Amino acid sequence: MMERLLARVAVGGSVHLGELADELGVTATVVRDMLRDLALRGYLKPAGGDCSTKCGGCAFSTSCHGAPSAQTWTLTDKGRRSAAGAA
Amino acid sequence: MGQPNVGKSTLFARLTGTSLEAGNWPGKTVERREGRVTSAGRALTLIDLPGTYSFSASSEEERIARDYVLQERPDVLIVVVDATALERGLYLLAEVLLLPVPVVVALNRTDLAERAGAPVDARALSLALGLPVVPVVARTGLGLDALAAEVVRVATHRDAVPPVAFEVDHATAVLLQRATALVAPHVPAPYTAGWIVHKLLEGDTEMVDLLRSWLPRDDHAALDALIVDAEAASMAVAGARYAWAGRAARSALAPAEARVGRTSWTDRIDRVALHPFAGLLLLIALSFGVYHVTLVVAGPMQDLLEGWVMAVGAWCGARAAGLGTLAQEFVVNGLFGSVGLLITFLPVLAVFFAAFALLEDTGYMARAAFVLDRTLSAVGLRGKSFLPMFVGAGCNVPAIFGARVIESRSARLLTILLLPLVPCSARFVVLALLVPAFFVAVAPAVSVGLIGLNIAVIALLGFCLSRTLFRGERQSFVMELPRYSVPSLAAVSVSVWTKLKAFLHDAGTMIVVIAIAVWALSTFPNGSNGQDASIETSYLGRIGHFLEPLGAPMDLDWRLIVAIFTGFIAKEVVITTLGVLYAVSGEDALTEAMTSTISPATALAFLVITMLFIPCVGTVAAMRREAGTRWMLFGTALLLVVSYVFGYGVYELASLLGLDELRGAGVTEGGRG
Repeated sequence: MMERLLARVAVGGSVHLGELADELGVTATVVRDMLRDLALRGYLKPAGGDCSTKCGGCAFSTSCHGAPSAQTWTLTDKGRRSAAGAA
Repeated sequence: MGQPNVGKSTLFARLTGTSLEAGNWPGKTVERREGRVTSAGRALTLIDLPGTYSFSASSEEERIARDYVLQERPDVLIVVVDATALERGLYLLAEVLLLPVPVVVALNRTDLAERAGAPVDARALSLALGLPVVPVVARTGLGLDALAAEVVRVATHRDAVPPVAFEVDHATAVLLQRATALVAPHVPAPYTAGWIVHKLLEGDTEMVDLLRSWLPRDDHAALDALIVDAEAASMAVAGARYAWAGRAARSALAPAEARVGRTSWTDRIDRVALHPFAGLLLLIALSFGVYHVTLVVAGPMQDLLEGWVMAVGAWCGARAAGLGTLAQEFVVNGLFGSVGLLITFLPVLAVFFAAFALLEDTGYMARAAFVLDRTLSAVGLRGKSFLPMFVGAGCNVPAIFGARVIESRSARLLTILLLPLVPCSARFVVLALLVPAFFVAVAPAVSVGLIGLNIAVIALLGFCLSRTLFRGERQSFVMELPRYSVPSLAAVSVSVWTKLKAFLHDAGTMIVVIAIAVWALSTFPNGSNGQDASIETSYLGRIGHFLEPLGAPMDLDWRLIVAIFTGFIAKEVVITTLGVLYAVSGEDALTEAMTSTISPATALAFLVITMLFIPCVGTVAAMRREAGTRWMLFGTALLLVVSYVFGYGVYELASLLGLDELRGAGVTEGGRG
């Protein structure tokens, strides 16, 4: 299951939790937990996507619509090797 | 037992009441609570185990819980699971079930889950798990009698604990089987071989050491040979646990809804909103709707305000008449031409911001971002490139700084080059105010078309550049979509107020200053003759005429060219520049003045250039800081060429349709040169 998720992330592109949950036959919460678990194991790393800490010094913080609740994940070298190996 | 914060202690206190006794676990600082409950004539002793996420013994609490379950082997283990975070509880349960202990699941907070719109079907869950599941609400005491009765029943009948069938790949299954067979003869009670092997794969050092102390030396090498890639196996096992928990949760959540023939509103709306084609159409329709509503609601208010502002301006001008013609002109055209115009923007902006805030508060905007990203990713813009893009829907400047999160240099540069094309709120303001001035009846269609053109240009450039200059790897973008909700009026009001205030503060100040500067440039060196000829020969007129050959192919007169270039300072300034220039040339209202002198084809070309050209000087500064002077110059030149080419293309296209000859009544000389 985790390998499948890792392979899916390696494909790239945008995907929402619900889609991944449907593809894997689990719930969105489990997908979220697995992504975090993969990150803990060093296969994925969260890639920014959160400017909440930068707003303090930003002159446009009030006119900015703000980022939607989203998380970008990228493969680490380890994740890339693992995904390539699985493929 | 259960994870921390699942309501375990409340449940325990409710069940045991006054019999509760508290102390410490022997030799530990962790509190131990014990109590009694009577059910069906049987007296039960309950022990409250510390909250634990797993049996990994990574904290004292986890060690106490693990050792108690392993060594004391309770008659029945009540695993408390939070119905609002079902999967996490089940993940722990998946590990507990590796131990041969009878389990009853207490499904707590069922009321909250129901209220949150995700009720858990206890019976379906029980079937999926093969375990008794009792729904309870510890806070109110609901279901506690049934729980106690179930515990008595299980303790009496000693139901066989069903083995958990984890689905792992063949290699892992073989590995688990062989490792279990290898260690089984040496694992003493109360441990079980299956559980120990799982701990071994997880790399639980305490268990690994323990296992090695039990195994004969010969078997150490055999075990090492067997477990070559413990990490892969551990991931497979963890994945299997997630899958088990996820499937059980899914069968207790979704199918229950399907069985009674209803799906949640969120699912139903998302079927359309997230569809690759229907979603895009919905997005276009909603944008169309927002512009239409803005026009219908705010238009009359704007007219009314315009009348008042003009009246007040004339009154103030009359007061200033005593100070000379120049002062009077400054008040009427310079001051009221800018500040007044700014005031008349407010209703349009308020309605426009409110419409978007409403969409945002319903949870739709996240879908819009998703659908757009998917469209863009089809042409080579990947993952993270997109995030600053949608922060860019507010303002390009923070979006360009936001591109910093992209590690790959090529992807970052590509994003920085394309970001200035994302329609920012300043461009929306220009659209909301200028498009109705040029195209009264078809304003929403033109506005949506212009936004569409920007997105199409981003896609086209992204497609070309990502295949030539900037080749990069693909990144994945996983998005969490919020549930749809009824928008809160308070949140919308706050959002509108904050944005209006920011507009008045950030853009307003600049608009007024530049409008007065434009007025001054258009008045001097001739002074206050108040004649059209004076603008033609003013500093601004001279600059405009100098640049006019550039606009000639599109029939752009010098005033439109000046407006485009002042828009370089800030996009909103385009409107005030036009306001000042046309008001000075003797027209009453900007709308009438422009429709009477500018053909729809020229207006389209002007709007296309305005939408595609550099949004503001701040964006250029940000580009320079993030990408360096060379790329900043390249980006600016790229946008200049792209906007010119598309402006010209749209003009030619419109001319083919005969839109270059149509003009409103009363064409004046107006400085058309």
